[in-house]
Amino acid sequence: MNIPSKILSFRKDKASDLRQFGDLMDKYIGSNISSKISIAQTQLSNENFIPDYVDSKGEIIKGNSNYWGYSVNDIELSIETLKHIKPKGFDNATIYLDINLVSDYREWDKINDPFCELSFKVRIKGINNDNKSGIHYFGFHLDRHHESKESNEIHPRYHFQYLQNPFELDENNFDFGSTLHIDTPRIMHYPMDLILGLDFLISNFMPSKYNNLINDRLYVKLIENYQLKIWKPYAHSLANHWSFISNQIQWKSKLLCPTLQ
Amino acid sequence: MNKPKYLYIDDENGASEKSTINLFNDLGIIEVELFNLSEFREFGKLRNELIQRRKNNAFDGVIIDLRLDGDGADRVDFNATSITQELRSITARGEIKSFPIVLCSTEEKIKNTYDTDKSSHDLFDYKFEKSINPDSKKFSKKLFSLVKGYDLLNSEKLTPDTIFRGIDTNSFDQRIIERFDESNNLVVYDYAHFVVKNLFHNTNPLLKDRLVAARLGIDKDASGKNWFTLLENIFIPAKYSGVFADGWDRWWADSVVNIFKELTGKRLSFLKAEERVNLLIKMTGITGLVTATPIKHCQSTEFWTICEAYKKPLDPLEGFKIFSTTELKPWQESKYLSFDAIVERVGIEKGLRPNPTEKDRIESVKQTLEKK
Repeated sequence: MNIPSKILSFRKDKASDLRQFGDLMDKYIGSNISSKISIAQTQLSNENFIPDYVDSKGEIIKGNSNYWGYSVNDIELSIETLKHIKPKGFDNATIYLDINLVSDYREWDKINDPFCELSFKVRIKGINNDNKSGIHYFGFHLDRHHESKESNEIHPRYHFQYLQNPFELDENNFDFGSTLHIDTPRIMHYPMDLILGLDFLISNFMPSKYNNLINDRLYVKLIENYQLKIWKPYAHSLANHWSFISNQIQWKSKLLCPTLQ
Repeated sequence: MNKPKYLYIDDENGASEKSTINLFNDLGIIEVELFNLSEFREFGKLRNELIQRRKNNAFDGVIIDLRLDGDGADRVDFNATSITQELRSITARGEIKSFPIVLCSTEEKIKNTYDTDKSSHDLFDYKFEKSINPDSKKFSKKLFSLVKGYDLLNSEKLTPDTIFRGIDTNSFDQRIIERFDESNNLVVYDYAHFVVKNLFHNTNPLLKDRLVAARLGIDKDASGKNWFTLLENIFIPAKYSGVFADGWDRWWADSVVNIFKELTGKRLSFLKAEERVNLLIKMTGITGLVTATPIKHCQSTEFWTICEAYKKPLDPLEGFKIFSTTELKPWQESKYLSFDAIVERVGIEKGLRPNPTEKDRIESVKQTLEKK
């Protein structure tokens, strides 16, 4: 396939960022995270890999080199914050992240939606030694609601949704316990790629590892760059709903979002 | 190919050494010749003799006793590590063709010397323990394969395809492939060492058959020949076919998952063992496959690994990481022990023990079980 050299070099820059991010994962967290990140790197550097893209009419577009992205499954992270888990009795729980992302090269530097497709799916599994009911599940996903899909329910373009049965086990046999499973609310949230997504998961589920990471200048720099490309368009577009004078703003942004860099 | 010939270098040449040699020779897969160390007790002499013999194609590989400086009649002033180090350097410079060097010693000596001297682990292609009744069939198979593989590596242009043989490596950690870049000037031994030590002895990207069985939810032992029917018919495209494949049976982890997905349309890791096996039976018609059940004190059947002590399927979430003398690469998966194996001290004589970082969790599970 023929990818114009400037697009390929853009993709290789993204791959190189992921490589640096993977090295940081090795240095501060370990496990196999960097190895999974490496799969995304390979897809970005591979001249024969162009992700399919679904246009606003719902048609699948193949082989358009303006579209780049990656798809990685089963990135595993161990949960550190076990004492907050209920019911009691968990001494181990694991997060499994699947991410599928497609973006349009031409939109990347604009104040516009950075992605065309995003599925960021987090599954959590824990095994309770204290309890006969055994294996417990939880999950959530961050989806980009696609233009081609119609619904009479509110769908913010990027939204979080909780999943009681994230491994999609047979619903007739799945033990929902005393909880309810409802699709709504779809909570609006800024978009996240692999770098910002892992930052989100680590900051929430591995606080001591996160505190080490944010003392590393390279980590902070990477997060800062991706927030600039992915969150700034989101925040500015939202803020632009109202006119404002920036020097009148008193509320500190880091109080609203502590992971801002 | 002719029967590969190994030189057996040992400072002891008593009955036990001779019977080990006879066991190999009687089996007839490889030929083993006792090297007369008494004539070459100086380091330089031994080195030169081996170089000369290798130049004359008088042997294909070396089996060497760890403690040449032990109590034997032909004792010398150096041990296997130093002469092996020297031979590796000479072959790396291309003076003679590279050949396999296999360590052999008593369990006790390996524990006292080899296990504490980690720097020597990289030197040998394989190690086996001297015992009254060594598994000569297994060792012959490995030693035969090592010679065949070294021959291949010596004669072919070294490329990653010697290992990967057309497997799609795009789903691999790039660092696995990058090490084979031409600019790294790799020699034959680097290839051999990488394949045996990094690929065969670790989990991911290759799996042993028990790991494949665990991931498919199958009780290998209870399934008998049906297991092999499944493995050799349905999962054969996942089988490792690169260099040394005839000595070590391994399967590519990604291919196993992909074949299952193509066969059933389902993602393997999400299913419970019963669902995995039911789908396999439905799609292949191999009805005798038996679903694996959890080890005592375990609940999950979402198996992905095995307990190294019991060799039975285990969900890593319920397992405890094993202590390993070598540091894992980021693309290698940890090995595990089950809680029951830890408290029953199964495999402790083989050095199977949990990683010290698992101590708190083990205590916590103990307390929970005591309360019951």
